Amino acid sequence: MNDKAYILLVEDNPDDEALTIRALKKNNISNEVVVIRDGADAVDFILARGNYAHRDPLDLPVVVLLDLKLPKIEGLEVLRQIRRDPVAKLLPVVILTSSKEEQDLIGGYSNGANSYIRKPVDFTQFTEVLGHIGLYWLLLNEKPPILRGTKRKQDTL
Amino acid sequence: MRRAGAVVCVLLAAVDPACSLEDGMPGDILKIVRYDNDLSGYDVLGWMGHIIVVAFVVIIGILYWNWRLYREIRKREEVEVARQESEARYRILIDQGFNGIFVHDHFVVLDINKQMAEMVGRAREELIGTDAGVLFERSMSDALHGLSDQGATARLRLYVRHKDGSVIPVEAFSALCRFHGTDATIVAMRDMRAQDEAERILRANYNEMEQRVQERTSELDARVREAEDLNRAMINILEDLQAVNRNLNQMAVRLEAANRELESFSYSVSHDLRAPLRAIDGFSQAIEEDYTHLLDDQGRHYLQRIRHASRRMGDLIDDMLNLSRLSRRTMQIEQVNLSHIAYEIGRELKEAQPARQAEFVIAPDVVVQGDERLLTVAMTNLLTNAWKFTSSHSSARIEFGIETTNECTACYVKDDGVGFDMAYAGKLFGAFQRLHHQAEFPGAGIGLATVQRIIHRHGGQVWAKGEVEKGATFFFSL
Repeated sequence: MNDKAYILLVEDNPDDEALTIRALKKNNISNEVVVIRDGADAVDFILARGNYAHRDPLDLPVVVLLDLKLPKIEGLEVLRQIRRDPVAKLLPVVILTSSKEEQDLIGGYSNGANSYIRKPVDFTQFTEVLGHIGLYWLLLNEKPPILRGTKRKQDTL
Repeated sequence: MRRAGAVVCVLLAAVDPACSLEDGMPGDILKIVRYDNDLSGYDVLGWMGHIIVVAFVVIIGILYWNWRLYREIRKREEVEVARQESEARYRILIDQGFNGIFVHDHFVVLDINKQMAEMVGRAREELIGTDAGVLFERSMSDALHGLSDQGATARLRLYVRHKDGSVIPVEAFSALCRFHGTDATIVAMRDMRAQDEAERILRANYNEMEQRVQERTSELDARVREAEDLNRAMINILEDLQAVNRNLNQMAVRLEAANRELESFSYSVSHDLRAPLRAIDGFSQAIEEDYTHLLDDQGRHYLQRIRHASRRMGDLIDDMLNLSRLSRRTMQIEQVNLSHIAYEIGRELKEAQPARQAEFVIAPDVVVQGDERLLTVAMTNLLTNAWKFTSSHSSARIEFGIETTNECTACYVKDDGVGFDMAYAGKLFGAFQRLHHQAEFPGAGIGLATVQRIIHRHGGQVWAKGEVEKGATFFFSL
């Protein structure tokens, strides 16, 4: 478990990945950013299984920035799967996507997204948005008590 | 004693005229006389007894004769009365009856009534004694034999000839009778003009009726044929409709597929098209920020233009997606108060630019049926346009109202701004079509296209009137 809270960025587009990290840095957010590039990997990482089985399952990011259009497993399906997990269901998930299609908004919220942010084209605006996200989820928001006695069931997988 | 017998005989003859003295004495009386002679020996009553018997017989005879005489007189009196009554009845019937009657003997007129005389237009006196033939049409001679004295005949159709030459149809019958002690024939006839006329009218009516019935029947036949034709046409139409329906179903399936395709296209655009733009803008800014010392002013200006173009393209993509979303959104039809919406939009616009001298004139309670969210979008576009295109004027008057012209009720948004040339009115509602330079009035040219799409989705029409520098009016009907 890291001492410092980290951000999990689930993003397949390397441009967006670079810009997101740049925008975070410009907002002086120095937390580690873990990047996962497809949906299946994201689920494995969060639930500490498959390639990430060695991970401590209780070592969860402070917030997940989740894109919707992802290889292998779509963002909404990732959300559905982690919300079924008794531990990960408490994890703050911010959907960060290009789309503001109604079906995505409804799908996001009904599957338990904590927030839905649309990436602006304008990088200045994009930087502002990420500044707000960092401020809110890293500083203002109280973290869910995941570490205190939460037990993951063995048969969850 | 002989004398007494003779008296009895005389008495009897008086009583019964059939019995005459020449026939001699009846045997029975002679027997009585003889018997009396045989009783000559009894002298107890003597001749007195004979006288009494004879007187009695005489009295009885006289009484009987008187009685017969009385009856004869009464009978004659009754016959005379009956004859007189009969004569009176005959006169009444002959003279006052409704029919023409005459009596003839071998066609010599013996008596004729007033009606018959009037029928032929001559005086009664003139006719009596003339030939009955003058009463009738000459051509009727054969038929006249039917009126001969053969006795009662069937009714005959005859034509009475008037003095002036006109002919009267009659129905006649004749019967044998006695007239002043001689055999004669009585002929009675009825004027058939009224009845013939009635029959003629009746026949005419009947014919007319029959003609009408025929007309109606043929009319009905025509109708029936027409109905059959219609029926066949209907069946054809039905078959056509079924074919059209099948086509429609196929179209609906294709449309649904096209819609799904459009949806996935929009989804893809929404997700994928903006990402590269974000990269262009983001990395341009990164160069600007991180390598600004390597660039001269021209280079920095180019980077600005790249960023501006990418942001504009991002806006265009957003507008396009919004427009396509309008078409896909399910409508919820309810009562919508457009006046409230207009008032709210006006208030927001004025709050955003409080320095502007602008007046909103909004007709109260314009209520329509429609989707509130879509109509709000349309109203926002129209009022924002009016706000935008009056901004170059020192003051503005923006009006929202409703008017009815030529069976069409339309809402309108009217401004006194820069207006437009009607020659370009056709371009107003096209997507990404603009009549002004971006520098004059910013915008993507999507506002009126959005309005049109929304109004069309409501089954309405949208149109505009304007003049350069004299304002524009946008109408829409729902």
